[in-house]
Amino acid sequence: MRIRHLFLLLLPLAGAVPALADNSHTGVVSIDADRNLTSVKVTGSPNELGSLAQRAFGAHGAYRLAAADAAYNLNFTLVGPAQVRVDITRGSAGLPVFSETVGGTSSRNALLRAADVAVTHTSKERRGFFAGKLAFISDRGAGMEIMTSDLFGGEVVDQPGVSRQILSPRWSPDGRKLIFTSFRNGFPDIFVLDLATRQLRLLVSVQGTNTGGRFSPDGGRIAMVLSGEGNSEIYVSNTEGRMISRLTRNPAVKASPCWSPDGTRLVFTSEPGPQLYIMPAAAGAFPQRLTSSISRYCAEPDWCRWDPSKIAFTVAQGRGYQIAVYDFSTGRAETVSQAPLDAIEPCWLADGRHLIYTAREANQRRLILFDTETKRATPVSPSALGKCSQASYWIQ
Amino acid sequence: MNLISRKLCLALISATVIFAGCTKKPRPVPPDTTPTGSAIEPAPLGNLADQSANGLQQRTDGVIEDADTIRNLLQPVYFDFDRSAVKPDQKANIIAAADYLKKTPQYRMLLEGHCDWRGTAEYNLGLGDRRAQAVKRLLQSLGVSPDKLQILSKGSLGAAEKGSDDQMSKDRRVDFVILKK
Repeated sequence: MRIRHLFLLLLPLAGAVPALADNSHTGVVSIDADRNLTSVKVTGSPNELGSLAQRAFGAHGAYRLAAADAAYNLNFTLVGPAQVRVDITRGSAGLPVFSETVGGTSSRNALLRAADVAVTHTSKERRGFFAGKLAFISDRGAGMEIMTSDLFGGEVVDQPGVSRQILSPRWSPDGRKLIFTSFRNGFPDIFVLDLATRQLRLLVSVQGTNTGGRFSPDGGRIAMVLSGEGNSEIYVSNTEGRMISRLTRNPAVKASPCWSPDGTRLVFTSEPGPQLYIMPAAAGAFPQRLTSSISRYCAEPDWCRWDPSKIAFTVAQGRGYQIAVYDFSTGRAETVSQAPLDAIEPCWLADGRHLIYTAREANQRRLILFDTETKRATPVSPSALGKCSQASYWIQ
Repeated sequence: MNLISRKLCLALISATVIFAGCTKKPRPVPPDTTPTGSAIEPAPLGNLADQSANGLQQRTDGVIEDADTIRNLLQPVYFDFDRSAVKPDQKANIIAAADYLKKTPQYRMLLEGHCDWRGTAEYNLGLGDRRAQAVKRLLQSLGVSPDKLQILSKGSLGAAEKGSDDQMSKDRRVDFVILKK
């Protein structure tokens, strides 16, 4: 602790270099100071909403929480059952900047939406990400369950009826359905859960291993990996899991297809390596290798819907795993996480800057909110939910 | 002519019903009975696949009960890290499995592919499938009918997460699970 204080004292002499404090026990990398951060004083009433607002801005990599003399003062007030007013003022003089009353599906949701509004008025970000929802796997020792929650572990809903072993729940573009792989029938098949009706549909159940289901951005098609013709291949079907078309024909193991934001291409994991490959989402096209020198193992691509120039993915580094980002504008990939544990299963958030990943060590999993610019990493999954992993994010 | 067509249709329907009853292990999954009552909806009707994927076949197998299996009777086949090629020193275990199936023709075999907990979940599921397929091909080359063989990849689900490299290597395997029904 004394050493950390010494660092803080020396920071002004160290120029703009941020100091990173590594906490191996929590998987958190906290940023002690950075002159590029916007200081905000965050208050709110009632207290629980104020605390949530502080938690949200404390996790956002563009901000530094301040008790006084902040660049901006953000005050959130509950004005209705599901309405929150945000008042933004500037500096110690309290010059008014912006006020708005924001509605939501609950007081908590309204607060997070109001906080997103505040982000757009106090940073260079064009949109916030706080009001999104997560779907993820929770394992409390009695088997896996699919959960949905807000970004900060509130409003948790256990999605029942799935049971057994589950992989990779992913949202439909309208936020009404989840597609995932389950061993519910004894073998890995692709299911769709309608969140409103709780109807569970067995979507694809052909011989072999059926996995990796993802809705296209327009919601009209589903990409998946099936091994029913003797080898794992990339396929695309309609939303009924019918009219399945095969896109790849080679003996490599393939996994995790992910659509481009315009729905014209797919990126996926494939041997050799594995590495990332990209191809048009139509039969007869040939995959092109995307990644090369960054790592011998590249997997789990997530193409950013909000910034189509970026794909986040998992890379092996030494004996561990980290998150990397491929940038089409530079044609290069770069490792962005510095997790003391494995960092896997990246999933972009709505500003195209932050993402959620799973911090993994033996018999432990937790979800981490991560800023790819400042490297700030904040755990967001409640410990009461046990091992939490494989997050998928949706926002209106 | 109409009468003949009608009789032919009836005969075809009867034959379909009879043969459907004889199919091995069509174990429909009972509707979900969770307290919240979520129910499973059957797969929709319609063309399963187009010409590019006409090798796909609807799954006919369901949950395999433990009472219908024999586990750990035959030695598994172990693999190197991130590999699906069968090592020469593992081929004896595949020969033993082929011999067992020839001696007990009433049984079938589930080839259950596994990976260690490292790597990534979906890729590991594909790798487990590939390992099981490699063992299946060798069993077929030894004269085992493909009808006797079934594949299930568990990927890294259920892999031990604490232990030495040697213990982790035990998770990179294909298990021979004997199916009594």
